[in-house]
Amino acid sequence: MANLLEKMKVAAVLLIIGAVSGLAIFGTHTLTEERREENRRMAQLAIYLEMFDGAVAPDDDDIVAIADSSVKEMVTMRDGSGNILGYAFRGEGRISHGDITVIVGIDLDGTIVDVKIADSTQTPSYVQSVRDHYLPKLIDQPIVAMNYDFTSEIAGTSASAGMTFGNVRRIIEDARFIAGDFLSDPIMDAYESLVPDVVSFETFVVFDRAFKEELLVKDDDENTLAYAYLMDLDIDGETVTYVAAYDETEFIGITVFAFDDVPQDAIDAVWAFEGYWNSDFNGLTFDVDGEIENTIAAALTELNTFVENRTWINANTLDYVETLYDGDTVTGYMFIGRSQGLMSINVLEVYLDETGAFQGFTYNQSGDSLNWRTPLIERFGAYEGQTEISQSEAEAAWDDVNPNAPDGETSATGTGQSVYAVISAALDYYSDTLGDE
Amino acid sequence: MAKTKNMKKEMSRLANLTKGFFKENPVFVFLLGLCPALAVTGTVEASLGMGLLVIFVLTGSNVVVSLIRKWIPHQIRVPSYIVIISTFVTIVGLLTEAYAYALHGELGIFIPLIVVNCLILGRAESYASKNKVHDAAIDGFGMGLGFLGALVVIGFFREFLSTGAIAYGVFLPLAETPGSIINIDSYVFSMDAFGQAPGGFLVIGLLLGIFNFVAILKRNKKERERQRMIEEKKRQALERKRQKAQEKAGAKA
Repeated sequence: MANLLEKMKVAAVLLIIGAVSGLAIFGTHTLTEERREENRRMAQLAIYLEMFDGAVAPDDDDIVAIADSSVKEMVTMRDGSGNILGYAFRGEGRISHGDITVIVGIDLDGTIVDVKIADSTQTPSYVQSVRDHYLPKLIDQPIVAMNYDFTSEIAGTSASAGMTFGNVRRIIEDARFIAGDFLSDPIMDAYESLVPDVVSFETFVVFDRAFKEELLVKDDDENTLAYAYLMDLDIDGETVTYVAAYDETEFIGITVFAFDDVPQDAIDAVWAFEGYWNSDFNGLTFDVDGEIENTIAAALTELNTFVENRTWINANTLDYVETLYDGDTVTGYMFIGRSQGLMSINVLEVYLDETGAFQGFTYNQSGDSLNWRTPLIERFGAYEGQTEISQSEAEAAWDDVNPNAPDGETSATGTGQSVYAVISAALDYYSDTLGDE
Repeated sequence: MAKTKNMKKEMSRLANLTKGFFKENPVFVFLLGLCPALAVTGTVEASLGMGLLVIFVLTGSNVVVSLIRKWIPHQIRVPSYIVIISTFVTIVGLLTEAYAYALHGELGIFIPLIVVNCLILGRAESYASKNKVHDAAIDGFGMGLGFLGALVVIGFFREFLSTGAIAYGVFLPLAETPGSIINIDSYVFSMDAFGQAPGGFLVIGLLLGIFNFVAILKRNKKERERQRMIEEKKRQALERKRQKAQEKAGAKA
């Protein structure tokens, strides 16, 4: 009985301390809420104004709340005469490290003016690394063709900040998408002229060919309507971005992001391809006159060949396979697949030869640490020529990346598992499907 | 008699208040709270801000712990202290966000981390839970001042060596427009490393060395004084003995 009373006393003391603490915190929270919110607003406003030269504080009508997106607010920035200077997007992200508030400024040309981390409870050194090494590389990038390749060049401690940057990137991507809607010319206009029901578009695969990015063009229900390809072509010394669209069977058409500085003849050149719109892409050749038209046609022909040689899989982590030719002879296969890695989804290019033997792989897109993913290319390279890679061989590949880790678990395990998922799916697909053809 | 007692009490309170300044300085003597001492002492103002927050939390938690020390069962005293300390830290975090937003942004995650500053739990456990409220309050305030002083000294050296200036009004509402009390435009005082973590280690290491050197000098001086006093006592005793022997011899004669 005495013991029970003692325990009840302990419980009562804890309860009272907890209740009083809770009340004190609640009271302070309530009393300071308005002021804290005001402080946050003022700090954000200062960033908005800093981003756009000559901007004045926005009216309430210029601030639009956004739902169902990492971007929570879009602010139209104007000068003293009411002319629109651009848009500021405030986004919020959360990972296990903590929360982050990011502000992205986009001008009327669809260029990133600035990206700033307004607030963060994430690991300060990672946030600082993102500020120092990642954000400056985003400034002046056109939102129609964002390039995140620089992330693979960042190494050491700063690479560990990749997870924090993943948060920032997500917000930029959402801002980019929303901006596409508001900056109807020239970005959304281009997409809409090709696929009228387009609501959003997202990067799917990046290439280092005549076409540099493949995007999924989606409708309101997130259904993929078409595949768009961005082609940066040198027209009279100016880089002009053309966008071609395909669906499962047809070449839908080609247009251009007609920014103010794009020469009119570069814009007019797309009309030479009008006759090819909505044609079956198999065996399609582009016969046009004119220097610019021929430059476009050469890039388009390379793209069309890729589309012809590509077979959609959309299963078992594989997106599609491209058959590689030397003339009429099949020389191998390039699979595009994706799987969840340790920090992000890894998009891989897996290469097999014409007999289905593994030739190697590269990362098409990855947010995982360079320290873990780079050695895996060499480790899996040891299995070149094999038509099967067993689970134990794969584990040996990633265990070897950090043999000093305890219990056989290594930092590279998550990345290695995602790599192996795609490679084994490609090998299985060859033995089940391509090998029988 | 009563006057002497009161004076002794006052003296003991003054000693309680000032012991944290040098003799029992949390940073330089006990090496407590080194995490914020390294992380947020890049500038004098940030150091001052962190020091003020710690004073608030330390004094507040000491007072509350002392107030309820007789009601807290022994087996739950540490969790209870943690809840009390974290309450004060949460409150101080909210107040900073409301009234010193720039400081809140500068200190960031290190405000919630005051909870794990071993100085605060240490004073609650070793002092506040065994002493009266006013003594606990004086102890908390004094130790907090000592912590603030240590942080400001570290911050001064780091900011000066990394920028050649000591700025004010940047993080704390000390002035309407930011300014600087010292500003030497010299490349000599632009050693960025001192504003970063390595500089923190260097400065704290050097200051610890100086502190210990001074402490050793003081200890040696005290020891010499003690030895001198012992010698003096010995001499006096010998003198007395000699006098007594002379008196004895004189009496016999």
